[in-house]
Amino acid sequence: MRERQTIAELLRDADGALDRRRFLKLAAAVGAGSLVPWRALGGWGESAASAQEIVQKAPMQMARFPEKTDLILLTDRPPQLETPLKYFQKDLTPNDAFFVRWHLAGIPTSVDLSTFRLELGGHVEKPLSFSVDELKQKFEPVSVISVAQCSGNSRAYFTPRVMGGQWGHGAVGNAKWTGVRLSDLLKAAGMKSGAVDVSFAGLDEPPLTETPKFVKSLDVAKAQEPHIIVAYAMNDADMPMLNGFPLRLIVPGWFATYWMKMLNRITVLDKKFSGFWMDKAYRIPKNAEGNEDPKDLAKETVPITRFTVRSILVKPEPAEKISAGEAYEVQGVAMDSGKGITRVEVSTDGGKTWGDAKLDAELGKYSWRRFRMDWKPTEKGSYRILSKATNAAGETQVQQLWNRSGYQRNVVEQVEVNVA
Amino acid sequence: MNAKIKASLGLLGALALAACADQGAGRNVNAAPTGSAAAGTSGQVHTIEMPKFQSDLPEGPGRELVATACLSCHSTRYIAMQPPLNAAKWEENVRKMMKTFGAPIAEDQVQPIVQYLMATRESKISSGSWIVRAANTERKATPKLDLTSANLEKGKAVYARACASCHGEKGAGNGVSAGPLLPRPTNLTHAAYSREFMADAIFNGVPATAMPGFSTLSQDDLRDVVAYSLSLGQKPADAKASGDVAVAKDLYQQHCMNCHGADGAGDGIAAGTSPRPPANFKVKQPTNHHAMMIISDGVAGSTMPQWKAKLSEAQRMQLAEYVRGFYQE
Repeated sequence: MRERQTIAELLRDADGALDRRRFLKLAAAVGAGSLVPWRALGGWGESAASAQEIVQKAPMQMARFPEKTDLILLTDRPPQLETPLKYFQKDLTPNDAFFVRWHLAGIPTSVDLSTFRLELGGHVEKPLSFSVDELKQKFEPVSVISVAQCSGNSRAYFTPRVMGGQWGHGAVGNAKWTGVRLSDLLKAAGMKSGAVDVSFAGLDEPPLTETPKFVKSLDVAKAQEPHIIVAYAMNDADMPMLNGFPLRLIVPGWFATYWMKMLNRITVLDKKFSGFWMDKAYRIPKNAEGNEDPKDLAKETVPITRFTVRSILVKPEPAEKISAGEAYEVQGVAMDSGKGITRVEVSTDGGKTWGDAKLDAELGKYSWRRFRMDWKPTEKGSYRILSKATNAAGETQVQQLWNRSGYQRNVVEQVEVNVA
Repeated sequence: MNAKIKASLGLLGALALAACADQGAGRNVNAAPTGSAAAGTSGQVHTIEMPKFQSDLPEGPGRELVATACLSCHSTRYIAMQPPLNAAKWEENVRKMMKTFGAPIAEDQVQPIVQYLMATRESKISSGSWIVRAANTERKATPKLDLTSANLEKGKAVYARACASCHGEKGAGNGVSAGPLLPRPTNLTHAAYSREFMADAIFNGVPATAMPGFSTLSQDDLRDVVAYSLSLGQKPADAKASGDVAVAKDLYQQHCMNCHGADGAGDGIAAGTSPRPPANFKVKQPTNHHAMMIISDGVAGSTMPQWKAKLSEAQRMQLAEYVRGFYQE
């Protein structure tokens, strides 16, 4: 039974995970010299990106940051680190492999728990201040397994391409988060009538003070949803500093832009929150898919919020070598905003025919759900593998999506492999 | 294959070579010792040490400007990572950095920056690269040195052998090898340095610069060259700000503190990710003239921006005097 599995079991390497050496060999086979061209695949319905596009993308490098394993280095300062796909062959993403994204270079490199306090104030009856220990002692601990996904996950695959962090599919991870309910904290402080929004800020600061500090907000109804927690543990361990130690806001089903790291200030407001990171950044066109035409940008935008339905092919990886006549298991993960993934279809012939993949057991409505599909290619040649997820509400993935900021991609992806 | 693609492939080849040279056999850009080991908990205090990467910029007109206008907030990889953009799009982004994020860029600097980005990104300029390199941050305890027994003549000889090619014969930072180095070799004549700071910089080197550590020097040679290098600099002065100290302090807190720290010790909140440590004014006292120059123009290749686009001359002078007051030897 899934429920009886330990965190250690959920984190265990799946058989056949690419080890680093094999990954490097594979990388060398694809790239020029020791470097892998960034994102060699185009989007749905297109062939590989043009040679010119490939060579102009930054080469892929690995880097090891504190409390992290070797991750794909998008940027070093502030750090943006992407999780290699092989780690998604597990139910839970290990803490040291979990992706990292900071906006501002003023990141504290030291946190003293004896002086650290989470301040809760603003439009409340009783402003409160908690040490991490007090949070653990005074409030009921709760856990949720939830996907954290960057709004710009898979941005590198947008066509036409857009500015921003050029993430592949690895700005995402699934973890068990443990902490206290935000609603319990708000109840303890007593929101005054007329409360409208709740804002969240962390310890990080911009080097230049004119740069807007990273602050996000939820409206009071959303903030009181019982599954939103202030987490002090990730996969039953302390969070790595770069993932938000000592406290992180967890908003299951919503993009990680709201998951404030190093959370130290919660403010209840009697009016709508206004700030750069809500008013100008992290916004999508105001329609169900978040879609717009590059030549005719949407007039109205809204803050990005919940995940749309999507699946990510984890195995095979691009350019992986597969042998004809041998059994192979296609693997992937599928997620949505909490209604639950009910079906994943896989095609191994470029989308001509589709079959239902086997779904692993559910780990909770905000967790991703892994899928598998047996495949035995008989003929040698080039194959395109695709996957398409559907949730309990019948929502599925889109064939095409574009927006100016490269957010919320949930296009049916394809991976091209060579069977030899 | 058209000419443009060929040129791009040429650049990729150059990048690959540069990366191989920097990283040896592995593709990990920072060696393991700066990784998982650099975290720890002592009592209630949890600390990490960030790996440091030195930004690299291809040579070309506008290079120093870009280095002092952009790198305070983000490293060069933020630029190198972007897809191909036209000049209008780059200009839009430079203006966004100015307007939204407060980048200290003057109006007449916008076009030179855009032209540099276009030229280097389209590989019209082929030398240098946008690759960041791991910066060595490993530091050993510096030996205790008795400078009273130092021999300045011998120190001068060591300096001539080990230092002059970058720092120049007289310490003005203009040696023959200074060439395109960013940050430039330090001009040793424009500041007073504490003995400990000078000894540490020579013994361990300076992270994210071309300054290597000379830990293999004999104890006597180290002592002599530290004494000689100090002799090239200024005598510490009792610096008193002439203007309104409260105004200067306010300016400092607004514009300098996040990197240089509340007390000038180079330990502000953004110092932990800064490749070259922000100046620690407790151990380095620049002359008024030098401080004014640095504040105005920035330090290309470090995270110190140019402030002449943002602050008036009077404000910059107030800050120059103010930071001198932190010195304590």
